[in-house]
Amino acid sequence: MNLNLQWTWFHRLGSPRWFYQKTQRWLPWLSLIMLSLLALGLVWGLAFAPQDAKQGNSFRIIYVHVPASVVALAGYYLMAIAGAVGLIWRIKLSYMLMRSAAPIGAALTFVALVTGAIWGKPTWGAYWVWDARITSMLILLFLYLGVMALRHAYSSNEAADKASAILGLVGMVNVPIIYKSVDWWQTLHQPATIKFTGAPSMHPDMFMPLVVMIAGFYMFYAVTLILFTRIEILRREYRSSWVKQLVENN
Amino acid sequence: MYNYLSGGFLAYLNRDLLLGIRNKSDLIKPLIFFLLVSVLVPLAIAPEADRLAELAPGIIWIFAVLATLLSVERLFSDDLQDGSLEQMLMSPNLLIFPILGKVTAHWLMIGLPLALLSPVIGIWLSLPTTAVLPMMLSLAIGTAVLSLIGAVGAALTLPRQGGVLIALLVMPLYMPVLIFGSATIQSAVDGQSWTAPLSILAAFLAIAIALCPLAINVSLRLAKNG
Amino acid sequence: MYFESIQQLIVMDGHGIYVWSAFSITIVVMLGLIFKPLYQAKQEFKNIQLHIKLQQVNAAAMQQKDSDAPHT
Repeated sequence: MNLNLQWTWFHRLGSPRWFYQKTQRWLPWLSLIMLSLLALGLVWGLAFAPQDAKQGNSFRIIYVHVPASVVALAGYYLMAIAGAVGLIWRIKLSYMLMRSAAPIGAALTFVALVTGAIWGKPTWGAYWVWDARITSMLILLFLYLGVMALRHAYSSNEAADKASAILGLVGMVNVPIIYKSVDWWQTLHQPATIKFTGAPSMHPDMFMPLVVMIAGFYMFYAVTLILFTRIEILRREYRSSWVKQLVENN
Repeated sequence: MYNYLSGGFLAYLNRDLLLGIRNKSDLIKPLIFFLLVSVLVPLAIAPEADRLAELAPGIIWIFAVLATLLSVERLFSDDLQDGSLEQMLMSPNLLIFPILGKVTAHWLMIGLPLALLSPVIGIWLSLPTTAVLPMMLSLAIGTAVLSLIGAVGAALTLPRQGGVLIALLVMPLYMPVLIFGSATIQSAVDGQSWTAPLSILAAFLAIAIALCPLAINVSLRLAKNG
Repeated sequence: MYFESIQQLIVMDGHGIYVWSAFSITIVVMLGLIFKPLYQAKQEFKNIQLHIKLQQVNAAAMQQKDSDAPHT
């Protein structure tokens, strides 16, 4: 009995209705925090941070490139964990989160790749260099695309959810292996070119805007994930009475 | 009795090997592919021994990956069509052993022959003779990992086989194997220790044997229903 | 501000084109990610409204049919 009581929060958390109504209230606040963080980070990073001694002003791309990469990678873990939670506890909401996380993660990985390529031009003199991190990001993009494409192989939502969850988990086991392998491969072929970020050695004047931007990107991720998941809820729960009421009141 | 003890591993291994031997064209196709594309390399690049030897470790491994990918697609699809997959899923045994049996059969029919054939390609591409043994070992171990990972992709894409979907799912997961596989050969060519990358391949194999059958098990049950 | 003028901020010693294009691509993708679900929400609301209306029409038609039945 006691156990039941303790677990009610968990089940309420898994209710799409609860999620939809709560996030309605959270969204304005989250958006406000996101906008202020991103605005602060952008202005600080673009106009106030000092330029890098070696790379000059092109280093300012770090303020979008690194946050996008960090959040895209974290997003893959979030997607895989949401899938695992769905598989284990059969929670519908976590499947919806997983499905919503894939396109957002793919878009952010794309941003990381494009900004990395643009950054590469003034830094290395070429748009594409087989740098370990860039290569890993490219593989991450394919992993995301795989999760998105697999869905179309299944006719039922339920089977598609489970299949994507399995693929996500397989990918999650592989992501660290891929990162380490590519890193090792790179040291084998190209000993020490220009180090990209080297966060700990960065000057605080440069590092603080980066922290703000990373926080802003995480907030952005939260906001978009909520927005995408709300659509997914509407699509899957359109038969339920609370959605009908919601639509009629609107 | 021996079927009981192996939990269906030997039964499915025997069955798939028998099917493969009776249906020779499927068996030979990837090997022919492996040989033919290797002939293209000197024609497309240059017949100079130095340049070919430089490219050989990577090229051999890329072809091995493609040949495995080509054949792994049909690992479960024939069984789905003739109903024997359903039978397998209904068996009271733990499904891991039949799955491992099927994957082992696939490796015996594709990966191992590739490894055994590779010296021919090594000679064609002027690979130094010292690198032949590391190449064969890396291919033998690496293709087993490729078979296991490929089987996960084959099981997941069972409802809609063919096309590029399986390649999209499986290729990113193949990258570490490709890296360490070609690195094994490269290290041998450079005269460095090649046992280190080879042992990492073996570690991949250990992880894949432990985890892939679980994923294949769940995906096969999904594919049957969905 | 680190730069002495807006002009310098835009040019950034010749790196401006890289920096500004990277930032603008990022912002475009981010805006897309925000506005896509907002647009889809509108569409989804319309779809559900249509679904409800169809259900009501169907229900009414069924009732009509039932009440018509004895006469024919």
